[in-house]
Amino acid sequence: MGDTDIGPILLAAQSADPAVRQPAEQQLEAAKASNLPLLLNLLARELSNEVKELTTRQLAGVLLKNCLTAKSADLVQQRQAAWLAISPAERHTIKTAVLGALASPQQSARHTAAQVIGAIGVIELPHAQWPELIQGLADNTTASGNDFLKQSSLEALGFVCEEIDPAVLEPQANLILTAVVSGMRKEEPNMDVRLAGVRAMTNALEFVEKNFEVEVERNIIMQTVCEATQAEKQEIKVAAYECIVVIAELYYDKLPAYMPALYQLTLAALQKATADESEEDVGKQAIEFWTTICDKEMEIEDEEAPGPSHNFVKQGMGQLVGLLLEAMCKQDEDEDGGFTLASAAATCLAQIALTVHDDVVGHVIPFIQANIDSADWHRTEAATLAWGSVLEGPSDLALQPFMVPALEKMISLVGTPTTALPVRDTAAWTIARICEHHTASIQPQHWHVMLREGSVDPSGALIEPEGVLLMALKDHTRVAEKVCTALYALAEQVEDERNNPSNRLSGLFVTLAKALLACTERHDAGENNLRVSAYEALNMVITNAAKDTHVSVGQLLPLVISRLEGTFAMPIVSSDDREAQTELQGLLCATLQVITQKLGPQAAPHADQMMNLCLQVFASRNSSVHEEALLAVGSVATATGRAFEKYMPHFRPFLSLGLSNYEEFMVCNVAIGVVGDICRALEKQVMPYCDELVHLLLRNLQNPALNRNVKPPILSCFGDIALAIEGGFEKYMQVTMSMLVQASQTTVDTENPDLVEYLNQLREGIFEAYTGVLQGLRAENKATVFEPYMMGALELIRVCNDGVPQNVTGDSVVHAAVGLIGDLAQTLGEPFKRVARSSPHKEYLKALLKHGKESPNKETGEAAKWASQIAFKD
Amino acid sequence: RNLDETHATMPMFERKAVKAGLDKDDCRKNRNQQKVELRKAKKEEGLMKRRNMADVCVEIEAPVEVEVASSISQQAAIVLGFVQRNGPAEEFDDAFGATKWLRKKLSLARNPPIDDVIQAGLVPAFVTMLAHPESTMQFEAAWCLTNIASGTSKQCEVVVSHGGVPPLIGLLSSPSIDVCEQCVWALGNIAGDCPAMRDLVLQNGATDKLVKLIEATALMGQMGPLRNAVWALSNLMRGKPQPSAAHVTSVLPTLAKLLLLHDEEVLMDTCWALSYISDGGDDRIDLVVHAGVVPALMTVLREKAENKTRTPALRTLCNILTGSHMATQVVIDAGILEVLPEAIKSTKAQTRKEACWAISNVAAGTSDQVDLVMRSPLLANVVDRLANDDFEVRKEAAWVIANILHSFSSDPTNTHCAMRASTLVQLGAIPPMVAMLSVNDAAMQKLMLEALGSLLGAGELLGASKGVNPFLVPFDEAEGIDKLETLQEHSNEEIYQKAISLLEKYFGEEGDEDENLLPNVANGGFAFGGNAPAVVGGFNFGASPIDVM
Repeated sequence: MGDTDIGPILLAAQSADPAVRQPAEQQLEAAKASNLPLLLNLLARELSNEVKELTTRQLAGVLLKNCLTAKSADLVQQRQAAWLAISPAERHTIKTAVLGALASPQQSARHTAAQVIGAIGVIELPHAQWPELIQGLADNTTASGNDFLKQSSLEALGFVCEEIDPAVLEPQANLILTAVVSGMRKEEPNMDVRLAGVRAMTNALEFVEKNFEVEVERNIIMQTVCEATQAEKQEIKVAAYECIVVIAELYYDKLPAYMPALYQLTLAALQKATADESEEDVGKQAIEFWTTICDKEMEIEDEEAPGPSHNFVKQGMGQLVGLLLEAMCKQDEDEDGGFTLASAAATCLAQIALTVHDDVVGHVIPFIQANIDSADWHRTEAATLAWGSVLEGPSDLALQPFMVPALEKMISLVGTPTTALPVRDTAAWTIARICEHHTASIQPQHWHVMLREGSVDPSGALIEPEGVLLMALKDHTRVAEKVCTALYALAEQVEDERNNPSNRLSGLFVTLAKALLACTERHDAGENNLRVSAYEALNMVITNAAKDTHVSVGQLLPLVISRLEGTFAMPIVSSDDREAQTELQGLLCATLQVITQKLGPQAAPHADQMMNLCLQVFASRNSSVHEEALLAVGSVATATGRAFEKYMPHFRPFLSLGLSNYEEFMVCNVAIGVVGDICRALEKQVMPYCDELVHLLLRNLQNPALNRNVKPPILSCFGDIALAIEGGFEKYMQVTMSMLVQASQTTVDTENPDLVEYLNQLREGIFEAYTGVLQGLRAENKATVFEPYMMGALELIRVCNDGVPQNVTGDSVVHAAVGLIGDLAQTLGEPFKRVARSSPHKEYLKALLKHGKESPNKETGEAAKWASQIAFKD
Repeated sequence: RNLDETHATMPMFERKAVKAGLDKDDCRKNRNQQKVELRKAKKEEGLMKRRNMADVCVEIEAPVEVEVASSISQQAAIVLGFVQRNGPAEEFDDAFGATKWLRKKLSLARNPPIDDVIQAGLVPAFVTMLAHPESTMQFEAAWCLTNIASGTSKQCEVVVSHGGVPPLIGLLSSPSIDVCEQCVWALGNIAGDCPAMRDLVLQNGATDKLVKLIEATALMGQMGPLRNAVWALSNLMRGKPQPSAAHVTSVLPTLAKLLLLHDEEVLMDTCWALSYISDGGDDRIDLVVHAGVVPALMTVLREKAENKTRTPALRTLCNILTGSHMATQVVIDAGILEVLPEAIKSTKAQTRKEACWAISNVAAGTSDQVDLVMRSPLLANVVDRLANDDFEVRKEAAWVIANILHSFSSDPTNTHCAMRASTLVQLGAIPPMVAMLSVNDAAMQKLMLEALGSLLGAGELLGASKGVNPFLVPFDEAEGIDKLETLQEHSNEEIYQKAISLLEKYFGEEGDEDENLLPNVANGGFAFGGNAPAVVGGFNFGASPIDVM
């Protein structure tokens, strides 16, 4: 390939014709594998060659960058290592070529070159391997007279800043800042340079913390950024406001001095955008500034971020809310869902409500009252949206005076066919928000108006039409979809009454199920997420249905089964058809799952059909469908108990497949849960499958590419297996116990709350495994098998006790650990008690038990009491 | 195709659309999470069973809810329908859930709705469900019955009158240990209600099954069920009239074996069972002695620091001491006198009292047995207790002294016996004995008057050679004469007669009989001695009530 002209290959690799594309792709892959330096060199030369086609130059640049970076962290590491493995001389050649392209008169060539420089810088700078890069780029921006070079160098600086660990660049912060500020200042005549400067500033903000501490330097930065918001060029203004948003995010505590100016700038931008459509993007960023301020002040209120709060929102709200409400009147005529100025304003208003709580109410009520009955649907919709947006945040008390008339207004808007569609849509959404946040405000008469079943007299004449929401399920898909959300929210509220003999859903169950099932069958249910929403609402209604609906739930089962059966007969001619089929199968599997879960053994007579269908669904290649089908199978196992044995030979391959799917870790995670279901269902009869299950689980534990969150459930899954096969677990003892000890040695940075959370999950999993093994062995009098591993278990208990004072050890770990102390005492008896009652063990064991007894969680307290009784009092 | 894999462009701030509806992935995550929670609950439930934490479960139930009664009728309808229709399989889950719900309500610590459940007619249904083939159902039904039986006698009676006892006994041989344990609990509650209920349980053959269960659980080391079974067994032995000798005989070998287990709860209830059995006539005591439990009881007394087990062990040994001289000797040979010094110094009055009681029983034995007391350092402790303790303890100490001195009065020419009085005087017994004359307890006053009479009589014998009764001076110094003179005024005829006769005999005073024959109205009532309790026969008396921990 040495002197090959790489251009044609690059072009061929982009061809739509597979016959042309595939050989080219293979050729490139082969080159990558056999001689990466050569390939990169060719690409760099192509990129920097001014006589080449611009397309191939750009392709070469992108391919070059893709060889250096990736989306997934694993690949990033691989590619970085591959780059660093190339000799410094060869790398130098490549870098020099790419640097040359920075000055290209061709905009896209130098832009791509800047990206490549950024990618290389991100790899090399942390290894102190390209020390002159930053200086070089900075010189390009300040000392060169070449605007092309200035622009692309600023871009390259921005790319490096964006991706790299800020600590690496901190020493050079002054250098970067000088270059960036010089590029973005208002005296810069070249607008492309200035834009690149503003964008680079946005990326550089994170590591100029020290400069931001110095008032003079901070003033310069703020002034330059604020000046940029007044530039002529639209893109510069948008970029400058973005930059302000990042400043608000990073340096909230430094804002008071600049707030008067920022307030003026953002409110003016918002006002301008409301009047002039071409300013929309600027206006959206100005709104985003306030939304970000809301985020910060909420974080401070929730003590997630250090204070104090400057209450900017409360102070600025008077004018701001008024402007936002006007912006909300600028809806797109027929579009729903895009992030428009109006929806940005509504989002901001919702955040303001969450930030200032009751205070927002007084600012929106006059607008709502003035506009809700407006002849212009834009204003009615904005009023409706305003009400919906402030429903979360203020107290019930503050909203109460307006709740009933507002709800009645919303019902009437939804129920009146002549209401403009966007208004019906938003009113339905507002009802959903009321269902979610203020169910208690909904009176019986409103339920009746919204959800009554229609009635006819014997002659068929209508006596009373059906409820407004039921009718709205037949309205435009946008409206129907919001109604589904409302019904979902309604059903969700009843969660705590799920296992009651009866609950608020009982009287509505049949009506809702019928209406939602009909909705899923609408010919246009594919639009606006309607089918998904209707099924999900149905699933929630079933999930939280009380005992007195079981007969009705049972009647749904054959229907859902036949619908799932029907999906296999769907005509599939395009990938869209396939996608629709897969989606429907996933939804129906989910419904099967919730029904089976609700009915338990009563669903067992349908198990054959359900298993048959689920096994067919596994043929699909879509991972989320696999999750649903696996969950459904797990519920069938729970419902059928030992009778599940007959399905195992058929299900086993799919279970193994799921357990092996480490790339789509959620599938793997669900499969692990199903192993637990099966263990509890089959008990000893799961034995013949255990060799394979244990093997796959161990392999997953050893797999570094598997998402770590799946690992704690695997550990606990060993406990499920051990509880099922009891003494039969003896053969897996050695291998699993040494794995538990290994897992016990995991340490994390205890400053990082995410990692601490993970550590707790891991330890809980380990304890659950020990508990399962001990209780299993005890049942067959094989306690002595565990004796060699006792000290390993004790060591983890000790470590967890050590973590109590620093708040590292969470309550669920304490619960699991004290439980294990009891299990050890109960199973091992004297040999354990002798050890437990001697130093140094008795000290930490008793300390942890004492801590457990004082737990605010009752279960933990009881487990600790039980354990101390059994371990220390007998 | 997306050419650029990594999109190295500026990040736009993306916020979720304000009116975003349901997201398929979020819903799935939500479902997944629910499943995880369900699994966790199921797992926890299984573990609770394996860990025998059922008793702990009771405590962690939610507080009383309003409208419990109306919900009871709803749940009752499910259960009753299930039973009436002969337990159709498709209704099992609902019936099981309803039974479990009722069980939880019955397990509430405060005001469990026992009467509501009885009125709903559920007791016969629960009894029927004991025969359900599913052991989980048997378990819940038995638990419900347990809690009902733990109520008042009347509530307990309902369980018995609906024939609950035979099936509960039948289930003691269930393969499910949970079921066994629950039935044990129920039967223990029923038997503990009153002797009539206890006999009903016994007559239905509970002992044999219980004994088998105890042996099996002891062998398997299933301590939770074992403890409950032993507790139930102790309730079967409790109360008067005592259970028949045949039932006692059938459980004694098992109790003897249980004494060798190192489990405090088991030991405690075993000892209580033995104390109930031994709290009877000599025939019962002999059965206990022949079961060979004395050495093991002594081990308990020596090794266990906890009063939980010491109290019933000591009680049993003391009961045995009240038996025949042979039985008494077995306990002495086992070393009771060596462990009592510690008991008599116990911080618990009850234990000091029991120790004195034990010694008094030895002091009422053969001459050799009395001499063992005389030679024991315990005697000084007894005198000390007589002088400085609660009244109840002083009373028992007085009995020791009285019994020792009685050995002289029943053989008034025996110098050896008289010397015992001398020992007592040297230990300083006279002042506390005199002090006992002032207590407001006629029986005790009489006892002390007799004892002091014996003591002074022994002094006569010992002083005969010198012509001086050596005990008269210490008696006078203890203000005994004053006390006797006061007692001449006593409303109780026997007492003032005794006081007068002592004064006349040893201090040559003439009593003013006429005056003293008048009823004493000083106490605000006319009492011609009718309020004096019947004279206690011999020197034994029944077990006094004890605070059972």
